[in-house]
Amino acid sequence: MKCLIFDTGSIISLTLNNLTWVLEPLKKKFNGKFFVTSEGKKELIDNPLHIKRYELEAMQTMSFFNDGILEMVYNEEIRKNAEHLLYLANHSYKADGNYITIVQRADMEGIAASLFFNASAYVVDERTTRWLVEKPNQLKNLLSKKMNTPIEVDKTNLSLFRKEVATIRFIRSIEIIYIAFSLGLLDKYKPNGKDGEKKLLDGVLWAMKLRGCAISEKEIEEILTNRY
Amino acid sequence: MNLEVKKHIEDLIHYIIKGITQHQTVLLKKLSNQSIRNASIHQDEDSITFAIITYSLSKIIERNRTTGTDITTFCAAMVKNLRQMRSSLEQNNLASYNMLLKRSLTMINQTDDKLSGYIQEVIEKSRISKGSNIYANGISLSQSASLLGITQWALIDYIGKTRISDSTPSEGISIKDRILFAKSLFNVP
Repeated sequence: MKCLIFDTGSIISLTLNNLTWVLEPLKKKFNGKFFVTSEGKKELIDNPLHIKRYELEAMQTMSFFNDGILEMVYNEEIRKNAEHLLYLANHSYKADGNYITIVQRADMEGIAASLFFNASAYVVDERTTRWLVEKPNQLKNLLSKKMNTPIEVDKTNLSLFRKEVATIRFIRSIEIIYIAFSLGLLDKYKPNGKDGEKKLLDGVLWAMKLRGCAISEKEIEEILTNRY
Repeated sequence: MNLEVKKHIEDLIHYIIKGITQHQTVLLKKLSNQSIRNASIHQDEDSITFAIITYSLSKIIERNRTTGTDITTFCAAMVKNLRQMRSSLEQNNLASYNMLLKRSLTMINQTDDKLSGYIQEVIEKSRISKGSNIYANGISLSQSASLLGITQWALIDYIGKTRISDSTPSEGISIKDRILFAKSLFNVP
C-alpha cells in the first residue's frame, strides 16, 4: 500500500509551527495514505489532552485524524514485530556491561508498521531511530562520546535487527516542509520584495529546527545555497 | 539496586551536601550531568531523580543570589534529608532510602508559598532539561521523555532551542540525498 508512516515528533514539529495543514494538499499529491501508529496517536492526542500547555495542539492534531488526513494503524502483526525489533534494538549496545535501552515501543511500532505496509518512507525527526537503521556505527560513536565510556556492540542482535529493517527509508518533517515549499504551498507567507522566496525558505527551515526537527545549521545553509 | 548505581549515589550525596552548604552551583550542575550519564546507561529512577534534584538545587541557589530570598530553612532540611538517605543506603535499608528520596522532591510543601511555586516550576523545567541531556547522549526522544515523565511535546519544544543537532556528527544520509528521495515520493521535479 502506498503510504507514509509518521512518527510522533514529525507531527509535533509541524503542529508547533502551525504547518500541519500542509499534510492535506501533500497527501493529494502523494496519492496514498498517511499513517500514525497507535502509540504515536496516544502521545499526539490522548496524553497532551490532559496537559493545559498542549491541550489546544492536541485538539488541532485530532482534527487531522477526524478529517481522515492522518489515520491510525494497529494490528497484532505490527505489535508482535515491534516487540521483536524492540528487543533486538535494546540489546544491541552495552555500556559498563549493561545493555542500553535506546528506543521505546513507539519508535519500533513505526518501523514495524513501515515494514507491514511496505511504506514509501517513515517520517522521523529524532535521530536515534534513524541512525540505528542507517548508521549504527555512528550511533555507537555518539553513545560512547556522550557517555564517556566504551560501547560494546552485540553484533548478533544488531545484525539481525539491520537485516529486518534493511528496506526502511527515512525522511524528516524538514523534507516534508521543503516539498511543500517546492510545490508553492507556502507562497502565501512569502514576503514582498527581493529575496522573498529565500527569506520564506530560511524562515520555515529555522522554525522547524527551533521546534525540534533534528537538522543542523550546516544542513540549512546547504539547502539555502543549493535549493535541490 | 544496581551496585554501581548505589556506589555512585553514596558518593553523590556527599558532594551534593557540599554543594548546598557552600552554595556551589557549578558543582551541583556537574553532579547533575554525572547522574544523567548514569541515567542514560542504567535508566534507573534513582539516577534520574538525583539529576533533577541536583539541577533544581543549583537553580534555586542561583535564584537566591539575585532575589535574596531566604532559603536557609529549605537548604538545612534538604541537607538533613540527604544525610539520612546516605545513612539508609549504608545500612542497606532501601525502604527508608526510597521514602526519603520521595520526600526530597515533596518537601517543598514545607516551605513558603512563593518559593514552593518557584521550586515546582524549577523541578518541571529540570525534568525537561535533563530529558534533553539524555536525548543528547543518544537515547531516543520518546525514551528520554518517558524516563523523565514528561510529554514529547515539551521535550521537542525545548530541544529545538538547544545546539544538540549542531554539536553531533553530521547525518548518516546527506541532506541532498534525503531531499531528492522525498521529491521522488511526491513527483516533484
